[in-house]
Amino acid sequence: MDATHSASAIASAVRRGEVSAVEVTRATLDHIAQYDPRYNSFTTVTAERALQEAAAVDAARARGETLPPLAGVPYAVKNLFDIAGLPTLAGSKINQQQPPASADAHLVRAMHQAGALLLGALNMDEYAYGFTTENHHYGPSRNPHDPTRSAGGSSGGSAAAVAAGLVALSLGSDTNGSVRVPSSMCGLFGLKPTYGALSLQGMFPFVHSFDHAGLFARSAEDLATCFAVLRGEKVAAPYQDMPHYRMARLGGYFEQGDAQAQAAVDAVCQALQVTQVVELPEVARARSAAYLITASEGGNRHLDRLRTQAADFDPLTRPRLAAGTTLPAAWYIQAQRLRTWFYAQAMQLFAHTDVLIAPATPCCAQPLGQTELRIQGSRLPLRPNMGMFTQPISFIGLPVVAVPLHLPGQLPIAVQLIGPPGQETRLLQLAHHLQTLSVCSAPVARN
Amino acid sequence: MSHSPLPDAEITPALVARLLQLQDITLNQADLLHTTEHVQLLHSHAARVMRWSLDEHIEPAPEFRP
Repeated sequence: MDATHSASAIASAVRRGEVSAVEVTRATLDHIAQYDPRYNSFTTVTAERALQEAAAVDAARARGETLPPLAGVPYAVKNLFDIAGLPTLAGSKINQQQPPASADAHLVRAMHQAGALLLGALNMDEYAYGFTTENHHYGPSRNPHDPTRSAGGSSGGSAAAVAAGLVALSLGSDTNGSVRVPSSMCGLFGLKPTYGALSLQGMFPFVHSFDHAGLFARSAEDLATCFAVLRGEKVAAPYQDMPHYRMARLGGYFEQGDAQAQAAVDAVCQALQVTQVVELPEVARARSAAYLITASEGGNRHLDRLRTQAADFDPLTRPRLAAGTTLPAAWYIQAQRLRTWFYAQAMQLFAHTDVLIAPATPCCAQPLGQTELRIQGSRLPLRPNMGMFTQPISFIGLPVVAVPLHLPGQLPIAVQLIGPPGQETRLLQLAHHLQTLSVCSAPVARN
Repeated sequence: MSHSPLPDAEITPALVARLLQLQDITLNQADLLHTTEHVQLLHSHAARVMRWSLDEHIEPAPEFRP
């Protein structure tokens, strides 16, 4: 047994003694060595640590202890999470010079306490500023469904590793779409919880106003288990009945995707019998405000490094961060004011709707190096616009589960299930329901 | 610098170099050209945000907690 199996299957097998955690780890390390050169998802493999954690799980079982919920499950984290003993790269060359982290990030500690086995640190866009993981320092992460294409970003390594079955779970971060975009590109279940729902302690920051921790899995059940672990909550039994939810599709701005993005939303709405279409007002303006806040906070965060080490930045990141340092404060404040207003508009929609449905990305994974998108007759810059549907939602901190669809003859693409703050369980239930209906799935891909 | 967003034609590498100089940032010519494109993009987003009619009673949300 190895990481091509689900986290729940691995944990059950370890609990029953059908396989040892050390055996799972050795098989997983073999797969990483064999397949990751193709996808470049890992920047560091923590083999020694994983084997030590696995031995501790096996020893606990031998002593007759009740094993925690993720005992023996291989996972990895985006390399902006602190891992004790390693420098926290955040996709950069600059951070290589930083001293190693003295302790694990809060969420890594939570995974350790749940018995999960840390296999390593994963590739990302430098300082999380991108949607394609075309990292010039560590190379691009490649999509396991088609290695000529992007895995999405900025948590591209986190998505590629789970999609290729190199780990069962991974952690990432989502500021403007960095979990939901790679979930869409790599065909995975992804969760960006409510803003503030998961601790960011020990994670290298990007944009204080929007930074979220997030997670990837190949099933809704695994996503729910991992989220409960990260929250420090009891893991609930798998979902049985589906409550009746009032659901609506987001129209207007969210209808700008290509035919595949629209077809994916059609399929989810059909399966859930959703016919109502609603509109959020001023979405384009909200996205613009998110863009300004991101540039401003990101530019300010890296101001000293831009002054003294500009040449050491990734050439894709340097101009974006430098541009962000030039914004007048009035724009930033007006954008934050718009954020308050836009949140109130969304809450008005949620007064009579439980779940909103929208595409995650305007199209599926595009070839690495491509710079333009052609959608509905328009040519758009690709790198910023892969987040056009995710950015307005993280702008106001709403929880989202990205659910993957594999339409015939096409690369995967995801749909966003969006809820009001604190309603992750509702979204995870729906994701599980869609998986049960075989509308959504996340098979291992090793193309 | 004015708080009014500028049209692309007015956002030149020379202007961007001066703005960066105020922040004590110096870039080479190729990076300056790329940065100019990003500044143009930011101004286009700012135009959209700053055209929104301001309600002084709506407070900004820099410490947002939904």
